[in-house]
Amino acid sequence: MRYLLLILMLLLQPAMAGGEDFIIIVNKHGPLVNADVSTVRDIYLGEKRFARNTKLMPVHMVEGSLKESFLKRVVGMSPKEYKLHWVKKVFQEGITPPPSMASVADIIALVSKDRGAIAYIPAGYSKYLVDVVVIGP
Amino acid sequence: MKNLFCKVSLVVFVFILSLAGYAGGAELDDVRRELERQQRLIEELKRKVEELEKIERLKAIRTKEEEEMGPQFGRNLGAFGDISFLTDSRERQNPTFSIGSLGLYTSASYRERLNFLFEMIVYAHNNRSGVNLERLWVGYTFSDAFIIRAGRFHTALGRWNKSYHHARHLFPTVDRPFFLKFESIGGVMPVHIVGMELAGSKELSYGKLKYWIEVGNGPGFRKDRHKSIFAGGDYKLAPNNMFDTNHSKQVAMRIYLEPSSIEGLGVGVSGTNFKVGTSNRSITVNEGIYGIDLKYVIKGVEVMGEFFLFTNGTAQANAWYLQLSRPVERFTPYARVEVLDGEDGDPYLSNLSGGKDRTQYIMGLRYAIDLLHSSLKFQYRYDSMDGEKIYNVFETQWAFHF
Repeated sequence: MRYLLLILMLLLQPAMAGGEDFIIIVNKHGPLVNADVSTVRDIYLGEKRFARNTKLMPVHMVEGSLKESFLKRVVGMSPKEYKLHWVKKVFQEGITPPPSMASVADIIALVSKDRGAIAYIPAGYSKYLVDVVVIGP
Repeated sequence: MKNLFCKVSLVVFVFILSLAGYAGGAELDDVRRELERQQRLIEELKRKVEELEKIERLKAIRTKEEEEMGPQFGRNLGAFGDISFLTDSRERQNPTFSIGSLGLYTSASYRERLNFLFEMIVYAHNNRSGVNLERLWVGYTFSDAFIIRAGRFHTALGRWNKSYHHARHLFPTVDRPFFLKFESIGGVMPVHIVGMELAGSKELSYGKLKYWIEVGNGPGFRKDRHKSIFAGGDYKLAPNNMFDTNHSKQVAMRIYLEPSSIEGLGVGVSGTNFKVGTSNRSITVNEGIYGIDLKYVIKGVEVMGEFFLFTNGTAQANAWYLQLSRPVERFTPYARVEVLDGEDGDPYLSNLSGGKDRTQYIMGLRYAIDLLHSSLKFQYRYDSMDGEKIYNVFETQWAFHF
């Protein structure tokens, strides 16, 4: 039944993704369970890439109001400023910017499997999380 | 009669009720059958979803394996370039259009810990063009606090040299401060180094600390064919890419702190020590350069400055700049002062073509056509060099990144 509800939620995803409320999720067994907003910011800016010897894997939602809302509230940048930050970061340090994923189900699946993964998803999905912990905002 | 009517009514009522009950039972059976059909459909869909997920997983594994086997280089090739127009200047003798060097860069990583970065410059002069290797390194990240790299880097001297590299689109101004220019065009600092670098960052209770420690080949003195431009010494600094021209190694280090108590402030200290000379050892100098750099953003105004002390036991010199800028939407007005002030008979600066005392006052406006991709700059520059002609230069630059 839980899968059925998740499928229904996914069908409604485009409508839900238009909202600005999000939750930040991390793996239940990973090193980010107690991460604060400042740590999340550093992770998405590429300033913090490891925690307790685990490679961190921040993931974005694809471009949209949810990503914009996250960048504004947590990272403190507009999408353009964030991209410029990463242009400089790649050019200076040769590291890779966080990838974006279109599907909330894929994001939840990734965070539930990867100990270093961190992501944000629409707040409405909080009931359907397995092996994942909500840490913010 | 009345009783009979009542009995008949009761029988009819019971009959109707039983008919309704029969009809209701039939409807329930229909609903049950429909539920069973939907349950089968859900089971079928679940099975198909699982099959699709399995195929996607296999595809992902295959794609990852194929990616690992294929070349990583050049997957994300980026380009920085610029075209300028400037009036009579020390660098260009006539009002002129000028193609800036084209910087091409790419980076790659393997399993997130192994990194690679490559940056080259394609340049053009009136009578020749060529390609320069600017940065090339491979690195391994053990943790945020411990990254090791080997190759050719921009030396950990101050803020500018580690931030902007060859990307004029990212510069707040038209060009670098003149004393931080690259070695081949009159720069007086060894801004490139070939060797090893340890770097890292650590979040401490009082702020964020970053460090860079480098050991590598020091630069050499090489004859400067363009010395007439700067009217200084006969030589330019030349990074020793393939082999060092002496036994000693250059050491450079920078420590940078962003204190948590003062938002927007970053302070760095850096230094390097190296032995430099001509290949026939007719000139040899032990030079030390020590610096402090600062960046402070307060009420939207960005203050940036660097101060360097040059010392070699015979003479001392200092070089510094102070820059103010204030972004307002797409416009950023800016102003900068940059100074090189040395002593006569300095065995280091007096041998370098760009080593003469010089002062520049700069003011201008940067307009971001697009924050990521393109900017226009309009600048006035007052250029005064010891014993040489003073230039009032007007410059326009269109810089880009793709």
